[in-house]
Amino acid sequence: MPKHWISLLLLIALTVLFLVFWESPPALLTGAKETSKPEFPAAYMINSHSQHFDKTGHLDYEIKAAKVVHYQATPGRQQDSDHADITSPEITLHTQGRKPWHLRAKTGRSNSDGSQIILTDDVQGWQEDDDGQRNELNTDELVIHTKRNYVETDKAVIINNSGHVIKAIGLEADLNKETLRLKQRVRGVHEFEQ
Amino acid sequence: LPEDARQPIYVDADQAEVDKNKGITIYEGNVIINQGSMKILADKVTIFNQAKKVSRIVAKGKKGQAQYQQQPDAEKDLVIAKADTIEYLVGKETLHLLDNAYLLQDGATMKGHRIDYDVRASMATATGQGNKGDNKPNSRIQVVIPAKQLNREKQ
Repeated sequence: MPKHWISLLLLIALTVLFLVFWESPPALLTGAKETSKPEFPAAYMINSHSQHFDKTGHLDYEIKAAKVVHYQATPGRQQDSDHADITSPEITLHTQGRKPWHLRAKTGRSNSDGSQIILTDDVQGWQEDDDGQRNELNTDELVIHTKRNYVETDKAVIINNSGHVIKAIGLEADLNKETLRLKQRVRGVHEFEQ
Repeated sequence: LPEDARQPIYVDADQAEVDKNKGITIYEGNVIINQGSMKILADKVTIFNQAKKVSRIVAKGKKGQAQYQQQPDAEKDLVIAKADTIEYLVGKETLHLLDNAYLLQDGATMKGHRIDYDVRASMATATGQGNKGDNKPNSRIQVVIPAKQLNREKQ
């Protein structure tokens, strides 16, 4: 077969290959599972109050909200991209043997299985001690891991711990163990024993 | 200053950890504490709360020693102290300087293994390390009183 026939065939093959790659969706190439983004709400609730229990039947957490709009990409099948947008969320995290923590904000978003709720816009948290004193937390954004009673933010935060006020950038708090870690630029003001 | 002890305690640091159960707050990284004219500089400071009020402060140096300074009175010079660990009992206004302790007060200096300083009475007590008659370093205390002050005491 003369040489120029071979090079012609080669050229045609390359062109076809190029066109195939050009047209095929990225997922074919990258192997990534394509998840379509939910565009329309699957359901919504007005003035809702939901209670969530752990495996042993203990009340884990509660959510009250003025409005919850639930988005589901494929009705009937849960996907990672599913979520719920919450207006005026009020969350109560119950920690066994201790007073509950109350958290509220203007807006919030829950992931598909409710294991993570992100509160945004004027986030306030408080817990009342046995002697009536309050521990408070204020920030612009707070990620709540509901299954672990663990909250965190990388935003500016103010903690008022029975009269000791501490400001910082970034926080991680284990509400079960009642320990907090403040990540950067910490400023504390402490009252003292008279 | 006399009114220092009634002032709130201000703390600046890189990070902090609060353990509500134990009633402690641990500050770490370039820690600066101010209470009126009193100032403490350290790498790590633990604040102990009792009945939710600060009762004790323990400051430790890592890269260097923990440092303390305070103005006892408007007319007096700054009192300056250094040690590997400085413990400040807030209510009793007492300072314990532990390990490689140094105190400068009215021009006189004192060195020893441990120095206890009563802030209110401006009184310091130094102790060496080990038994009597030891000649190990740090086992004895050193006090240096400047001549000027000696002459003044003689008159």
